[in-house]
Order: sequence, then structure tokens, then C-alpha cells
Amino acid sequence: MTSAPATARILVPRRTATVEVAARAALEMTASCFVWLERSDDGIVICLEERAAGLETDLEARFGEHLDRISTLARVERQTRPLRSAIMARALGPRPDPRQQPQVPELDPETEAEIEKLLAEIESDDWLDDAGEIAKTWEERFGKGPVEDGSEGGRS
Amino acid sequence: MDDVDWVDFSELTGCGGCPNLRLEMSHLGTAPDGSIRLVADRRLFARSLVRHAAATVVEQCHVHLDLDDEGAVVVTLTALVGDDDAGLRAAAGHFGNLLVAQLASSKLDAQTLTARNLIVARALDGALPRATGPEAE
Repeated sequence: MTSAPATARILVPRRTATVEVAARAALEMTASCFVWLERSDDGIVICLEERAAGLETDLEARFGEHLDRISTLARVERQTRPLRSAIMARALGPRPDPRQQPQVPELDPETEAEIEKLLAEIESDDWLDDAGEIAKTWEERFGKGPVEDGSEGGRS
Repeated sequence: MDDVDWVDFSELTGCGGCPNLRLEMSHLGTAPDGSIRLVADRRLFARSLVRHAAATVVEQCHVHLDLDDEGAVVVTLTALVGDDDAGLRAAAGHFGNLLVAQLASSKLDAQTLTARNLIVARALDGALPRATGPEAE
């Protein structure tokens, strides 16, 4: 004797989940069940019936798990929507015109004064210890150039 | 964590919180004439969704669409040959699953429409030659 496929009718109250969340949770059940959706004054009714007997042991519990997971995903999706929209708008917005100069942000007076002060320190201090005298020219280091014919040296 | 409004499963009829309210009734029950009749609530399913789902099962069963007094689409499915109840049940179940899938995807489609339009516009913009030189000034 074969048992009949399990069936269930589950009312999801309107204030518990939206139609979209309920539909997505119901969609998760379609692998093992035949699903039908009905609307009532209190919410949405999920009708489930096993495709074959014995595939799902507890249709209500399984649907509840899916509804919980989809509700959490929907909540995270709703909370991060402004951020994702901003990222998408930034990524997909109008392309910058290469002829336009990049906009240099204006600095406040305090920051500008600080930068001027740092630049003055850099220019005034002998902070670069040129031990190898690489900043000096050949003439400064060795006097007259090594080649008499005016060339800078090198192979001929 | 206080702002998270977790789903209260005790509110779900048929779930563990109130098992006495569980209703054992198949939505795929056959009528005396052997057909399966499904009413697609217009508050849930657009008529285009129903038509599209119906078109996908026409090779598995006979399909008849009608409107009831409230404007809902009444879908009547009958077996192609004889009393193939199992085949008809599978076709009707497949039809319902298709409707649910299309309902979920239509919501997703509406949510991502703006982003997809932006991607296409950006791609088309990149494909067009950009004017250069003094005449572009």
C-alpha cells in the first residue's frame, strides 16, 4: 500500500512577510513539491503538495525554514539597498570627459597653512644627505670634463 | 539586534505553533469530470504570467483559460488521453510551480530594471565614437 503525497495549506499573515518573500520561499519548495499561491484577506496562502509520497517529512517546518532564511535575506537586502545603489550609480554613471581637468578639492585655510609650512621645512632643511654627491655635476666633483674634444664621453 | 523583527512562526497557520489549524487539502484535486481547475488570483498573478505558464504545459494536457466574475483567470486542465490522472496532476503541479517562479522572477526583474538599463546605456555610450579636436569644444 502506497501512502498519498503529503499536502499542506499555510497562511502567511500579511504583516509577517511580503508577497515577494512568500513567493521566494515557496519557490524553494518547488524542487520537492507542487506549489500554488492564493490570496486571502489575512495574507497569502501557500498550498503545498509533495511531488511523490515520502519526499518531504514536514512541509510546514521546511517552508518555515525557507521563509525565515528569505526574510533575513530580504531584510539585509533592504538595509543595504542605499549603499548598493550608490555603488552602482558610481560605477555606471556618466563617463568622465578626458578633456576635462580633474577637479582639485579646495583646502581649508588651516590645511593649506600646514602644507605650506611642511613645504618650507623641506626646502630649508638639508634633509637630503647626499653622501655620494650624486646631486653634484661632474665639474663640481672633478673639475674639468674628462674628454678634451667636447664630447660627454662614451664610445665612439 | 533589537531592530530585527524576526518571523514569528507561531503566526503561520499549519506550522508548529498551531498544528490544529493545519488543513489537509490538495490544490490539485480533480473535478468529477476528471479535470483540474485552478483559479489564479489577479492580485497575485498578472494575466500575462498565467498565459505564459499555460503555454508551457500545452503539450502535457489540454488547457482552457477563462475569467471569473472577479477577474481572476480560471485555468482548467484536462488529460490529453483517457484518465491519465498522474500525468494531469504532474502537468497541473508544473503549471503552478512555473507561476510561482515567474512571480518571483518578475519581482526581481522590476528591482533590477534600472541597473540593467544603466549597464546597456553605458555599453552603448562606450561603443559610440567620442568627438575629439577643436570641433568638439
